[in-house]
Amino acid sequence: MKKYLYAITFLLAALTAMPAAIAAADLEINTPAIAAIQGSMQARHGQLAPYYASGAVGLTRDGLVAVRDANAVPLKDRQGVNSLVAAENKDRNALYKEIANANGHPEWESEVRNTFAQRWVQKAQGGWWYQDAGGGWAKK
Amino acid sequence: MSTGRLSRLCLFYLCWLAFSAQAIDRIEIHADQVSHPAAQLENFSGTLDMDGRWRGKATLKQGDAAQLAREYPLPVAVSKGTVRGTAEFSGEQRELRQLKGDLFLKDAAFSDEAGLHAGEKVDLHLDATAMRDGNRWRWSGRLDGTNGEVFWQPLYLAKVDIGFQGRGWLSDAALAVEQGRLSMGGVGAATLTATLHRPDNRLAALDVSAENLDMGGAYAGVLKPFLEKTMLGNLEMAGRTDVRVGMRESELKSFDVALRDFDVEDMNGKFAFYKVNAHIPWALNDVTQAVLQYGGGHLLKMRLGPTDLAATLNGYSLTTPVLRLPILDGTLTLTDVSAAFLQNQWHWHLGAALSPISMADFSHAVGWPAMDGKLAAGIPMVTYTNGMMTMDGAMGLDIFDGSITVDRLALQNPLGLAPRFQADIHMRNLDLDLLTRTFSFGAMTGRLDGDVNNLVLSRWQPEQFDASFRSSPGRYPKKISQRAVENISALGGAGAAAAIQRSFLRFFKEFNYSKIGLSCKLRKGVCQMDGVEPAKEGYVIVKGSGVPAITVLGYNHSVSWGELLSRLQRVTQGNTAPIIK
Amino acid sequence: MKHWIWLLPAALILPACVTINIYFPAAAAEKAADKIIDEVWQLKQEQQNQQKPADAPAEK
Repeated sequence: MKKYLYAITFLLAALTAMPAAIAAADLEINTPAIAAIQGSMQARHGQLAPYYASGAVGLTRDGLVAVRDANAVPLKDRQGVNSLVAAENKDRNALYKEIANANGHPEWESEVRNTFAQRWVQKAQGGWWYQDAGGGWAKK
Repeated sequence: MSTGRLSRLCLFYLCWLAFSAQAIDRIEIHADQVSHPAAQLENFSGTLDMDGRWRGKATLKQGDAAQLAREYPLPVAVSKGTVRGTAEFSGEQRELRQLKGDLFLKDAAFSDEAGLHAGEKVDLHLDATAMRDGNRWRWSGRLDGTNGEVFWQPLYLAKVDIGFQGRGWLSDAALAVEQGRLSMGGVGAATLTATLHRPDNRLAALDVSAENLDMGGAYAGVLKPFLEKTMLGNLEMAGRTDVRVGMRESELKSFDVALRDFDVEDMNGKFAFYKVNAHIPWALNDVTQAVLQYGGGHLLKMRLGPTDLAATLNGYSLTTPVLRLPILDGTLTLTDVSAAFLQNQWHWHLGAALSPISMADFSHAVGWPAMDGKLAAGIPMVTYTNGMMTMDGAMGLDIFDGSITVDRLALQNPLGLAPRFQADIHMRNLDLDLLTRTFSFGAMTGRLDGDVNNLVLSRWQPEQFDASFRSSPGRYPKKISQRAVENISALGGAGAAAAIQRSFLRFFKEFNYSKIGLSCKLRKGVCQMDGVEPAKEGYVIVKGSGVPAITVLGYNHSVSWGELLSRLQRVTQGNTAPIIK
Repeated sequence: MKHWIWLLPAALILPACVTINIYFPAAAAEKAADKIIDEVWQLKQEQQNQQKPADAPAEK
């Protein structure tokens, strides 16, 4: 009988511990808010991509984007680049915050941001510009 | 060695000669041409008198702006351009006392590193004097930009047409504009006074006053770039405005805006206001009264009537006991309005009431199916804070000859990317005849009660709800047309409707019923359905009575929400005439 | 025999305690970031598109 009860409690412990183990394996990113932000960024990427390629816009070390050298862009289009960058950064900031919130740890925001900052650069195409750890611009 | 230094040396040498010789009281020199790698000077002349006072004059025939600019700490790099003009200077002993220049910069190009402050093909004319006054310089003059294209983040000027005229002083600690006038072609002119801290160029004080500005030009040329990607980013304006703005230590302290016969229209068709007259004075540490009136306009295609609004402003807060907005053929009344802008966020609360408006007008305006009747609503108190809008008490709506109340309403991130809406909705005594006619569902006569509890919309799509609809209690005629029966059956899945067609029932146009009921509990994209009562293999949706009676049964208890929606759409849009096989 | 029953709540609390002390899951975050970046920059699609012409016989 004793053994039997031990077995049940162990089983219960194992079962209740499991959800935590599963949750730790993956970060929750399937929320409507994250999907919305992602969709908005995806739609914008087509407009931003040529500016990444020309070096007008670069990836910053804090997981955002910035106007790096707009001199090749005609004067009349430069505010357009500015607006794109501002809109993209608004979405990126919201994305990091939402991911932290969706996983029940708002305090993870800065770590999520750091992770993204590295991954954006890692996945950037050759020729795109990014900010190195010292804040200087480098070409990938 | 630069030209300046060369000539100064020369003058000092002559100066020394003059003192040593004693007999000479004045020395004059003249050079036809002085060459410098960056500039060519002509007709250089200078005089020096016995007391050590000196004076000179030169004509700059051709200077390379790019090279000359390199000798000054400018915020932008000049890559192209020529300078010409005349300069006069005078001084005493080793000190420059007065400087006067009349210079033309032609075809200049400049830019900072990121290209956010840049210009091309710019023509400038500077006519200015500077005089030493103790340890500062007093300056006066004018600067005119007559041609070129400039982007000065976020402003873009396709054709530079700017003039500045003024006077002030300059010291190591500050640059002051004691009196200035700035004019811009197509917009108007403003007078200003300002003080800038040096060397960080921080704004210590600024007062700008402009009268009779052309709002059309001001919006296109100045305001639009600041409002890009906002609700106000694509407008057309006309009218005149007077503006006064006061800033201290880079902080807005006061402004005063007056609009006269001002028209504004959103090019995306969201809103328009015509014949706006307003006076909005504001001060950071003072209480002011603002008034705004407009002759008409529209908001989300709803016609707005003549309106008179008044509010009390106190720093970053706004309060007013009542705002009455004529809308369509009724009036929206906002009461106990209070709003504050704190820590970069809006917080507000208000109560609202909508006096009856014609549903025909309203449904037409918002693009819904044509509806009859009247719409009236009352909202006790709405609060918005930290991106969350909540309602205290229930909102009442009179519609379809019955009533709808919305309770426990909350809206998160209304303007964000993922708004989330929560509410409980209760419908009582809706006239089925009006309702079915509106949504072209096939005629039904009777009354309907409904409840949609725990409703959650995420990005305006249903995420969950517990909905149930049923015949209202009481005695009243209850009839259902054959088409409505088919449509209800079709909601249960394809094929169900065909059964009626095959039976003798197809000879009747209308049936009597005793009860109608359908419920749907939506969770995770699946709708758990039920009816008025259980049947052998499912549930009863329409329970017949009398002759001819008809009973409609539902079989599937769980239906995918997407599937149900597309069925509803087919029913309300597709079948105007039933298909008979 | 009776006191065995106390093991049950203990068994429930134990894993609950474990879940409270979650450190930032760096690997999971990286995975999540990659998934989102692939979507936003449409990297997976591009790779497929790039592969397609490579599969086709080259014209000379």
